[in-house]
Amino acid sequence: MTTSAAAEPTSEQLAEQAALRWTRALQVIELLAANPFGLGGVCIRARSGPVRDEWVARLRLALDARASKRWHRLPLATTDDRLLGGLDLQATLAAGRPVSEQGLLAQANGGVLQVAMAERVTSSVAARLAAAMDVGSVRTERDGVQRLDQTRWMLVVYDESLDDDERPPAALLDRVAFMVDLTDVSTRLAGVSSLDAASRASASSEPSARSGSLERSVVVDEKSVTAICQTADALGVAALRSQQLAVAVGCTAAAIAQRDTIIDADLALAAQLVLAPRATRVPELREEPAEPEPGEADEESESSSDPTPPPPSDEQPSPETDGHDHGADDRPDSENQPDDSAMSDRMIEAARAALSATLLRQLAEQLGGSSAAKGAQGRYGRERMSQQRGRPLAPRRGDARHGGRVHVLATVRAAAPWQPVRRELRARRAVAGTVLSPKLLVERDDWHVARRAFRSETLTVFAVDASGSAALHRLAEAKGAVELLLAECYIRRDQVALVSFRGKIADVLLPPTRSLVRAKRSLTALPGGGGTPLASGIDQAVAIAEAARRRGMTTTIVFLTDGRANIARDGTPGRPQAALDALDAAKRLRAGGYTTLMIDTSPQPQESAKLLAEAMRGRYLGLPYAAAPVISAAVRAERAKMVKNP
Amino acid sequence: MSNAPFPFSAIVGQDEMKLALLIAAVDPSVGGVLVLGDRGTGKSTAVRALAALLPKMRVTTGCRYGCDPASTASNCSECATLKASGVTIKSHLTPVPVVDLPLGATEDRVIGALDLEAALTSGVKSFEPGLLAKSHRGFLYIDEVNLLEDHLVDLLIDVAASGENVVEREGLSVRHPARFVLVGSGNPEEGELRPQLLDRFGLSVDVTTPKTVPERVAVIQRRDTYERQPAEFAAAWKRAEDKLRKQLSGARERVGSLAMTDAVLERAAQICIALGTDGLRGELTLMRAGRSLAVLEGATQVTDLHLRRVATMALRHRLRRDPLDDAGSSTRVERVLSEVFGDDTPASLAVAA
Repeated sequence: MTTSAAAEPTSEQLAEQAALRWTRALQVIELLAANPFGLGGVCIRARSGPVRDEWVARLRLALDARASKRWHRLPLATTDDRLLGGLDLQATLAAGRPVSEQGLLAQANGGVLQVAMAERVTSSVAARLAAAMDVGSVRTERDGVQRLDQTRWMLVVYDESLDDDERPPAALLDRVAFMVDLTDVSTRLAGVSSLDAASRASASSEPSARSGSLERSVVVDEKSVTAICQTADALGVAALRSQQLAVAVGCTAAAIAQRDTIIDADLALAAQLVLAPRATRVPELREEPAEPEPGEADEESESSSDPTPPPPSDEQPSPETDGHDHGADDRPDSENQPDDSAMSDRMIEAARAALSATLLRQLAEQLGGSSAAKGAQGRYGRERMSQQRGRPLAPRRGDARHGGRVHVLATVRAAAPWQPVRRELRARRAVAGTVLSPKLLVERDDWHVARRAFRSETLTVFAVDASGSAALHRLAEAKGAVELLLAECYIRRDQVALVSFRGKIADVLLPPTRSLVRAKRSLTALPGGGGTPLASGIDQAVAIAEAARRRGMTTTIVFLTDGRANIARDGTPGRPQAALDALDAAKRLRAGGYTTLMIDTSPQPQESAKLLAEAMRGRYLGLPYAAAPVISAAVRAERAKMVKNP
Repeated sequence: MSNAPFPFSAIVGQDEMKLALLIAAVDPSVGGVLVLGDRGTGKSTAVRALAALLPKMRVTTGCRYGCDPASTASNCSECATLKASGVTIKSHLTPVPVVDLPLGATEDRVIGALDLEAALTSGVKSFEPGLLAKSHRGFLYIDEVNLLEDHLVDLLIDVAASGENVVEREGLSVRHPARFVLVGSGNPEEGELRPQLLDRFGLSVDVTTPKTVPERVAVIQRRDTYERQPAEFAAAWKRAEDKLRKQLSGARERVGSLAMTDAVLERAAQICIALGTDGLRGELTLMRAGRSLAVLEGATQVTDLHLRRVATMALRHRLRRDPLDDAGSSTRVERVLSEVFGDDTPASLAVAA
């Protein structure tokens, strides 16, 4: 159903889309410069490079024209004491009384806060940023210090992710108005070389004199808000914050144009810039006489030409309507307000034009593929933070000679009560004079070292064969078995990951996560059919296991397959090559030394599966009919073994 | 945004969350509220708004832990000795504390620790109370509760259960009362809550983004007005707020005197048995929550209907959980309820004035 939209666009169209993206990116600059704090900020999706630098330089210029000059950078490895502030040790020791210091979040007040490589930011850092943005202040309760700093900044999020599996934390994306995509924008297009410093200066000087509170005077009428909300609804944007930001963008656009009412054009702009990038479904236009106007809007739809939709009927797969938990049922309210809906139709049209070809394709795939909403939301790796959350234990007395880290605060605390006594002692001893008197007298007994306990986490990777042969026989049972195993993982608070292989390739259905609900959902949604690319399935599982090992987790891999590979690594059909590739992959797995369990899902035990299990040095288990609990017991036993001798 | 909080009564929809917070405010022994749900659904807004509704409380002047002068049993050691010595105790009114536990807070600030300032400047070893002390008799609010560090969670569980904070560190040995209503909010997408902590919350509610366009429009418009003209907005909602405040303080006074009939107690037990909840905590919470709802609505007696309306929020997080059953515990509770009550009308959640 999506074939027409899925065809690869030609290079011309790509260039055209890139040009469009660049134009929009420049519009974003103008809007941000007019209302830097009210709009939250922007997320730039682009690799680091001249184009991104150019865009940022332009943003900087536009902002410099106004007062907000200070740019701060949030490094990836920022620790809480720098982020939130706390005890300023140097000053504390020098002054002999506690001195607190501001963290980065407070220091950025009135400026711009840049988050580099945001797709790697942990959700706990994101939550701290989000909390500060929501209340406009940072509260610090750390190291015996409490402070409250007002802070307001504009967020610039650099998203360098390659695919949708790693996105910046949703908590951040939710709070910035714009998501700018600079992928494929060429340096020539961005005019990197043509614009020298002088012309930049002159270019930026003209829009400078805008008053910051102008958007306050713009009247927000109910009609505009309704139009925004309806558009969001049609695009499947559920987050209220995005809708609120879209309204704010409309206001700002009106303010820039020196109007005090929001007109359709402002709303259309808001829909394009704020709502369209967040769309989780392709909007349907109600089939009314009004043909979508020819123009920017519909030039991107035909078989190969454009990202925008063809007439709703053929592009729009029907699963979409029931695939999302909201939407279909609350659509009718557009009927009783013909006026508004006309407006929102125009906006939807505008937003559609802003959807890129790839996005449409992705959406269509998602919609066709599964019933679960697989939107970008919440798909970033929660797994990254967990192993860093080693639980800090109370600092213990001792010195740092054995590789421990001195816990300065605990040391100071231990030394503090003794100060008057020691001072006196020292004064008595030093009758001779000539003693330097440090502010704080620390003795050997005071030293404390920090301790942390890391719980080694375990990950179970399930690689499920969803090919035609498996689907025919026992896919449902295999699913049942995995569900049982999942329940056990839940009890142990293990992480799970899910890989499926069918057709030509293997997919990571679920990166390592603790969320059982998500695991279950992606499992239920797993369709069956197609070839058996066993080799890629094994490779994929090993890749996940390797990544997990790098993060210090112990990993078990469980395969559920009949072992009959018929798709080779390169995606070509053919049993002999496929079997060879699978064996090769199995050997590589063995080299990694992972605990492996091979569950044979074919009706009769298969030699090929046994061979594979041997090659992996894993345990082989035939899946007996209707005996899911047996599998679950087997996995438990394997793990127990592994824990004993890792 | 740091001026007057958004008025509680101006929050659009989210009836279950508002009801749960009011119930916890009427009777702190209900034991806290957990609000889980989508981003941007007004979770934090509601908690901060609740603070403005609470009537002031009387505290012993000079007590660092905010002890209640009227109470005899649950005072800190200083107040206890003061009382025993027979001195007339001075007291004054202060707002009920609603304390934020910010992310990244360290253990020493949460439970209290050696007062660094005193120690460094004058060499005195004294205790500096932490956030737990500050929230005594009030609310302790944790946004993003599922992102809280594990060791802090352990601490909170312990104190929330015992109502007393015991500090044994850095040569200090202090114990002081810390009875607070734990209010947590979070987004389940970002990690699940440990089952032990889940159980500590008396009530749990799920919030979702408003689904209909008119509701969303209302949310955005009210928020917009609030941000542009906070004073006018507050004035416009003052009557509604006053009314609610009166209702709440009246309920707080009467909640102790409302008796529960045996029939209602039996009904509560029946529900819990049917659901197979572990322990008595569920029953107790159910009863208390039902009672709070009854007094909130000015009823003279707790009825089945009251129980029914609070049963879901009091019990949904206590079911022996099938981690894979994402159909949701709410549905299970609802099903059992209609069996027990022999009807099938879902109860309304809005508070009747």
